[in-house]
Amino acid sequence: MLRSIRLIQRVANFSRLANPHEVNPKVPEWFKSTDYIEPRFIGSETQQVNEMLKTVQAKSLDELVDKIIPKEIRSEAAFQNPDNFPDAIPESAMIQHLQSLANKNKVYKNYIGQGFYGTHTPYVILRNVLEDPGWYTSYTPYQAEISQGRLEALLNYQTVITELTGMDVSNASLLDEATAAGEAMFLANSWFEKKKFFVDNHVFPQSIEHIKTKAYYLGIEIVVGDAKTYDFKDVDQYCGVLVQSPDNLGEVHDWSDLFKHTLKDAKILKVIGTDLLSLTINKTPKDQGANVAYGNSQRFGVPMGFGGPHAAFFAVEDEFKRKMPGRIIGISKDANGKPAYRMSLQTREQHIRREKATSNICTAQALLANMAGFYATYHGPQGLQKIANRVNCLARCFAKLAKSLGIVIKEGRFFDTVVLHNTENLQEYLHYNASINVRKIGQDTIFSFDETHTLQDVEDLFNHLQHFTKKKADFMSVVQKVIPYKSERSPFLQQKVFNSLHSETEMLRYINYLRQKDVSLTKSMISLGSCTMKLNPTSFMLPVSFQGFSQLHPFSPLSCTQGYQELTDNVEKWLCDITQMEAVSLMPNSGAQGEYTGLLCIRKYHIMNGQRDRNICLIPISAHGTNPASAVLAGLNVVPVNVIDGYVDLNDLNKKIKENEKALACIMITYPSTYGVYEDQTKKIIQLIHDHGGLVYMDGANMNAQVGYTSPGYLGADVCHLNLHKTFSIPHGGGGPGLGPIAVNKRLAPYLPGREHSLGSVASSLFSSASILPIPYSYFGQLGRQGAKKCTAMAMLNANYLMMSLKNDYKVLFTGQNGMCAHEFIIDIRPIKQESGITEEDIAKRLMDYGFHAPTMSFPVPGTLMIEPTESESKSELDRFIEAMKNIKLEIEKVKNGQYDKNDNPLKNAPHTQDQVINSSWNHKYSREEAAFPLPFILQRGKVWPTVSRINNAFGDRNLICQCPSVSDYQQ
Amino acid sequence: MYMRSILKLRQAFSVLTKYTKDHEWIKYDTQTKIAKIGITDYAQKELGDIVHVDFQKVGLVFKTHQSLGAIESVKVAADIYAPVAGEIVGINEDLKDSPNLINEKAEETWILQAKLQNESELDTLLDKQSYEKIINK
Repeated sequence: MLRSIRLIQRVANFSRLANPHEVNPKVPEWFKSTDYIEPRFIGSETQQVNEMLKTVQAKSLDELVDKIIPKEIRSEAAFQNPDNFPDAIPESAMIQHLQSLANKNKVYKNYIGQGFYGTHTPYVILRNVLEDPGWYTSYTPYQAEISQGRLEALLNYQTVITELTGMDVSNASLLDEATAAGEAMFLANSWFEKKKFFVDNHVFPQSIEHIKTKAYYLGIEIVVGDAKTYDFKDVDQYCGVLVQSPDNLGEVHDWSDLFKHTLKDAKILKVIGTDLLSLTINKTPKDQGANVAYGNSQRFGVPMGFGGPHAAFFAVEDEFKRKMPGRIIGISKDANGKPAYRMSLQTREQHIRREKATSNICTAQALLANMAGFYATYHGPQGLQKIANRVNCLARCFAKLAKSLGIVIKEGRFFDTVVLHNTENLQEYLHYNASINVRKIGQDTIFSFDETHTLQDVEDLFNHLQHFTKKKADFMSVVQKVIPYKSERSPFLQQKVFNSLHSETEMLRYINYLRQKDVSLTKSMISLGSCTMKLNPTSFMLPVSFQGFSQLHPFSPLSCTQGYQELTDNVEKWLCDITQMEAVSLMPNSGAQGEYTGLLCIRKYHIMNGQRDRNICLIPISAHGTNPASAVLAGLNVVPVNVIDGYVDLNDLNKKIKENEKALACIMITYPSTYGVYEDQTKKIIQLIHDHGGLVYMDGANMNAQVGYTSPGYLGADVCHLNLHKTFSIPHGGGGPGLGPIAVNKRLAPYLPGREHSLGSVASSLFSSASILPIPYSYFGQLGRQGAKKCTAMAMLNANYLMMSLKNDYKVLFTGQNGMCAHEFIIDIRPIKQESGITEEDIAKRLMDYGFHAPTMSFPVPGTLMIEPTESESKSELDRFIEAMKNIKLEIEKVKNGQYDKNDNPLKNAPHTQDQVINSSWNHKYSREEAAFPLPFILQRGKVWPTVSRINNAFGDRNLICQCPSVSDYQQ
Repeated sequence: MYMRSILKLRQAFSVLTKYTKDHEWIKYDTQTKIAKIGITDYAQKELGDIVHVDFQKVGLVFKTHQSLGAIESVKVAADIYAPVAGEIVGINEDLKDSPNLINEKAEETWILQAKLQNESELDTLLDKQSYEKIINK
């Protein structure tokens, strides 16, 4: 109740922000601001819009929408009330407003720790990676030939992780530390097939909390105890043991005794949660006998950002690599035998494995992992050790100083965290008198040191302690006694890349050398179906770097985070308006995590209603593979439902409902369907499920075709997730971050994280990736009601314009009423393959020669391409794409009628690299011009040359290499 | 005596080959009572470059249609289904390092060996002709 009152007040604050003259209808048009985002956000201007409308045979955008969206599903109520959703404000006003919100957050000197630490993001990385659209607007590197830059960067990151943890294989990062711990627990459970898992009680509480949540719904028993003293007599019943070092209270452990002796022969997974910086001087998890190491790479140059986004790491011994969650980058070779990077072992991923996947998480935190990798590259092994020693010396110095004042400290070996016993009220004292935030557990006060602290800070703390204890001691004599520990590490990160880029000039050039290899939105349209690669406006991105947003610790006291409270309240409120739902949780860190959280909500609802046995989840076979994977992890049993011509088969649905009458938990549906069609039977399906006691989960992947015109709430869904990284302009970051909040109706609201009957915890902190929330906030505030709605209509216009322009050349699969598509459409390449042998992959790779990124391949139908242009692309860019696709069709015709050789043609050999084309021996049966510049505009505009030719996937999967080559390889 | 040894000889060479509509083959040696199970050449082509074989453990007692492991190619992961009921008595260790053997000689490369629960269950499976009819449909 209190929360909702606060909410209304805040929104009222925001409404006043829109300058009254700007929204007053009496004020003539010419007095209004000229820096609104809408005309910049939408790619085409009026003239171009009218031309496209002609092609799709509609007189206006409104008429077009009427033709596309079935009447019975339209609901524009949420968008008619200005109290609900804001009026647009100009770019400059939003920047000012967000600056004032950031200023309401108090960035105190911070010693809270607990998995999040202050860090100096090297400015060369801040500006040229985090703030560079060349890095943040690219997609997951599925099209490896035009992604070699970020693939190399991610390989560097993986190398940092394997070198520091001592493990054999690292993935390309996970969502956050808590979920990484959860993944370790699930890996143990599925590997050893036992239902009991041990967690040491000195693991970070947020990790324990998530492990417990995850285990609860899977029926796994979690035993939390002291691993040092626990009697492991019953170890046969356990599938794994998870410990941490340094632990929650900062103690550095050597778990060798437990793992290598006590549990030597036990059939369990041995997991150590750890800290990368400490590993530059401390013994590796591998040397302590661990099978798995995980943790947060945040303190390697990624701002705390009130909780995220950050890249969690996860590394395993070789034996477990095929069951490891997340993506793995590996080295293969291209068609010319040159080494080339790619994503390896993709068959582990849920889009292929579906309900048999080892995890539901299909994304990584690529942008943040790359930052961490670059941080290690920039500092090199000696630099990292220097930072670690400095942090460690500051902490030990502080501990000695505290002791000199008679304070009892926690003894034992520590890295960066000092516990002062029996210091009641010290936390409050420091917070109110010195603007310093520290952690407190019972009577103890805890200080975690990091790279940003200085000896001056230690002296300040010491002075406050003198005051607090009313005692005196000498500072400098203690300082001089502290010397660095002797490192326990053998040399690490000896590869050239970590030892040659320590000047800013070299670093800058390396970052840009990598960036220019990749196709991002700075280069061309990325028409990936179901991915909504729309504009990420610069003014939306700018506030992410505001100090008030980026430098805040997620466990800062409420009084320091008022700006964030207002920001998150508003985002929640507006997401409720858009979805016509009751409440929102911003906790899920990705789309798949949103699905998972939504399904937990449904499970918790049934459990609380005494219907624990409702565990059947119906999923149409056309659904994205994360749906069944998330369902299984939520402890549900998946029952697939047939699809006929793109529509859910109602007969089969009825049959499946009848068969599972009493056990029906829910259905998962996507709207518009994954085939890009507004099904008119959706309301009927929802009613049917509700009539049988089930709930309805709506996948938010296609929300870009709903905003302003209909909504999950109106259609009758009980819960949906929203991909803020698709619909609401958070960039894809080259494969993460993502954000997948869920919206629920009244019935499910009490089960959201942090509420009355909370389903549990699905991330390390309540707002997970809070620091990127200014982006959707700007989307709502800068586009406003009309703008957001117009984006939806324009996305449909662009898609239909493309479809109409290509339908004579390619067979279009599935259309809705009046032969129209929604915001995306599918072209069928199977007939082409039959006639000419040219496949969807050949076309995808050939598009690279034209300077384009391919559309989505073989989803949701094998042998097809799914195209989603989004509203942000101009007609000129769409026309270039059309020209390219039409020319490719002509090339296919030439293969068909024998003008081109069946195997040696520009399609089969695509993509062509610069060195191939300029090579003096050109032996192909077509010209160099046809290979590299098949259309005049490519030569005029220039293009991103693929830096490798077609990559050999089988070689890479059969010979898995996922680290930088060692020094000796360079010497060979 | 003569007849007996002839019979023995015949039995020694008597290998019964059957197919499933899921594209597995099973070769049952009536002498040793051991069956070898693999996937057909057609299946191999459909899967593309095979990069890994995921085995179940030796000693697993399985029912008909139960998953006996999975074959991973660069683009697909496909289950191997038990053609009949039985118990796994051996796995082809060579495939751990060279999964591509299946691409090269699918019909000769066995994936696992099994003891059958009930020989007569083999009669329910397809013979070569009927299988070929299915894939040429």
